[in-house]
Amino acid sequence: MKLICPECGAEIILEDKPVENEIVECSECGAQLVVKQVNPEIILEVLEDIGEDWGE
Amino acid sequence: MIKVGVVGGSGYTGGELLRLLSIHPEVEVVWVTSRRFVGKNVSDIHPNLRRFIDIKFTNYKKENVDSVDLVFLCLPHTKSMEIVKDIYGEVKIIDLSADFRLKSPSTYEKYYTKHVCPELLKYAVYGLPEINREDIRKSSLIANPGCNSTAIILGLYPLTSLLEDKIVTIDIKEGSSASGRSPSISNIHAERSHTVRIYKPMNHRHLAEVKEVLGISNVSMSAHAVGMTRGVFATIYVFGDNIPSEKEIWKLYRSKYTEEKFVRIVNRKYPPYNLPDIKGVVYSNFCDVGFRVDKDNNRLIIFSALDNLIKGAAGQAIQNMNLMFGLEESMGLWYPGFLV
Repeated sequence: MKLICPECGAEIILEDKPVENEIVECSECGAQLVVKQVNPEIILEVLEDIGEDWGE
Repeated sequence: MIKVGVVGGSGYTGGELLRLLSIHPEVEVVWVTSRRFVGKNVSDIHPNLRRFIDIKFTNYKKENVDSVDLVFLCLPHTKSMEIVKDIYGEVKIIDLSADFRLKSPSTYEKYYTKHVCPELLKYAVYGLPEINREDIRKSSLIANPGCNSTAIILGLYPLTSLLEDKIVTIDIKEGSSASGRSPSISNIHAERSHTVRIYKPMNHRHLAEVKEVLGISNVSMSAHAVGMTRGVFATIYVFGDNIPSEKEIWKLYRSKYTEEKFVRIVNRKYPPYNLPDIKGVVYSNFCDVGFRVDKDNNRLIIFSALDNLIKGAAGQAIQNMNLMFGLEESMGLWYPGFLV
């Protein structure tokens, strides 16, 4: 299954159809993407960025 | 085997070139010259080359050119052109100085001095394979680009169509090996380490190459010496209206670099190492490029990092040699850098 990364536009290939709230990663830009919806179409959203303090 | 001679082999660029040539499977180094160290073993000056380059430095003699297929010139700017004038047409040449990088004799004179053979400038090909690959294959005189210029040009090249109405400002940070092996007060370890020093606030010579190769004019540059031995890091700010989205910038970079072996798009979302970093490129022939769009300030920021002695000099020269002799472009260069 091919999806498009909403962050960088790269192709993301998944073996199976994802489930809602599943997290997938774009191999090109590394963005963590959450599956917001699976029907009627799959919608991916970028998870919130990590701050400058790298979460510390 | 390609037989090569190296003119001016005692500096850092010459030493790095010899190191890379010594492990190249299709090259034999026949002679290496140095006026200062003539008669000394090359490995006395470059101790890392013991058991790899077991010959002595000689004086440059024109007749020795007959014994090789290719001459590398690792001489200071303005010295190379004297030799090129003498041997052009007799042997293939890769000049690591700036003497043949600019097409315009008047621009060369503005930044350096009067050119001694301006009639040859038109035959030189600017040796940046990512832009001039096919011309390099056919050329017998390559002008190897400057280290800063390589970082900047590779950073901006995918964006050239956008730059006409933009203002480009470049901030360079550079390691000490870029200032050569001749001692000076500012290069003493005590004065060079643990500091950041602005050494060229404006009118850097490499800017002339950037302008000429990319065909842009609204560009300025300031260069800093920082306390590292190797590396060039370019932060490039592009200001103007209609800055494209990050996804569109991705598309432009992919269109130029997806097939390029030595340019890596490093544009990950999360730290660490989400953008180019000197640690990712030193001791390798890679140039890493990344970017961010700062919509709030109408600003696109480009980051470009490379090893000044390898992709910024000797490695790029070998990439050019491979192309000139029909070899695999990455031969002798396909290895990662050192992280620590």
